[in-house]
Amino acid sequence: MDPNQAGHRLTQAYFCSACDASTRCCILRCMAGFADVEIPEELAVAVIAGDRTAHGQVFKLVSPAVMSVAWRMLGTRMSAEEILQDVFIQVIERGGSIERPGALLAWIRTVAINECLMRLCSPWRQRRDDGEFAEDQEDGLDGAARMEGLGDVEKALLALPTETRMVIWLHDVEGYTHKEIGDVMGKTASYSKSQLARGYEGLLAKWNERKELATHELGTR
Amino acid sequence: MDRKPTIAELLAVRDGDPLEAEVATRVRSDSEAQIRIDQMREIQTALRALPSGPAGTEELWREIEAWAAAKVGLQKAGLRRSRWRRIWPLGLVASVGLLAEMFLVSDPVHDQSLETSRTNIVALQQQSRLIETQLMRTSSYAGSASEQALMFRLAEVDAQLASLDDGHSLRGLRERELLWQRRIELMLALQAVQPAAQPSIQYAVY
Repeated sequence: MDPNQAGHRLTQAYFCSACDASTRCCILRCMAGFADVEIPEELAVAVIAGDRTAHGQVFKLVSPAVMSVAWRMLGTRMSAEEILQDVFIQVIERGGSIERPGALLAWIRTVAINECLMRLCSPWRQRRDDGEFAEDQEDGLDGAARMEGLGDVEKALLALPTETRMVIWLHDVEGYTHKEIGDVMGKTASYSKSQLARGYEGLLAKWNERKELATHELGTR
Repeated sequence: MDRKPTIAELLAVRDGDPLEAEVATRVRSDSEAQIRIDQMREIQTALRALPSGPAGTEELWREIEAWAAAKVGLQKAGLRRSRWRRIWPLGLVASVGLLAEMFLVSDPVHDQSLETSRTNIVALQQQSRLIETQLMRTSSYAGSASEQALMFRLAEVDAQLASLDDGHSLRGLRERELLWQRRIELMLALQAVQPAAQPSIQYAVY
């Protein structure tokens, strides 16, 4: 994928600080969603045919995007890794049922998002999480160590309620419509719109706080 | 005086969603609204440019392969839910036997037993994970007394597992093995007492 092509006009300011900004792969690694992942057709064909080596190659290609979605939706790395495992178990088990190789990536994305939603909605998971919640939070949303090193936008995103965060991610990053979000969450398009608006209220407040702080810092220099 | 556009209306303008003409006109003539829409665009760009998640590790991939293999093995062995419903009490009896063996029989510690026990634990962990995934997908927790009792016992087993040290003695490994076995039995029992529910999430067909 050529980073200079349309859709890859990232500025230096958005480079991930953990990456080497001089390399091309950094640009690709810094894109959070599925939109910038490509699975070559021959590889997709092999996955559908059940080739285990191809499964491994697709795992390498797609796992950052799955981790991104799951991490941002569920808020903890541990949960994101569990989602990644569940998604690829499904790829191995059910990948053969995909009719068109070109649909593989969209299928994986749907499975990943559904797994996240299922995890959030499952009464079993809610019961289990009651006991694990505090521990999870230490590694998750509220942990100071977890927040350290994250950008302002990500901190603001993670501070939002889970459903609001999910709607924002699905709409703004994954490109879902409000109707599609309503469908996958078992709600209405209006619900999705109101969650997006509520989320943006929080994000805008943080965004402006950050700008004011930056202006103040410039003024004191 | 005109009311200020709401965030939902500003988002609709940003995204090019249909909007009442009167609202659209009001937003166009409001410079403050235009600034907020620009800020919303900046936020969206920043969200899309967030660093991707870490790639899955080799170790994680090996675990996935092992789980997939374990599941195939489980299906081949015919250990599906319906069958487990019939045989889980036998598992319980077997566990009691293992417990008795642990405490009453002095087993000589040797490498082969250690290795067997470690292999058993890995297999049990894989099986436990599969059943937990299945529970997550189909569980319809109704809060009955039996469900609550099983959940309580499950929490006890988890606490015991968490409190075990990382010792590598045969006795320690056997204890861990027994607890994983117990965890599986409790989850299967939980499946058995719950009415089957349809998954709330339906997969799209491609």
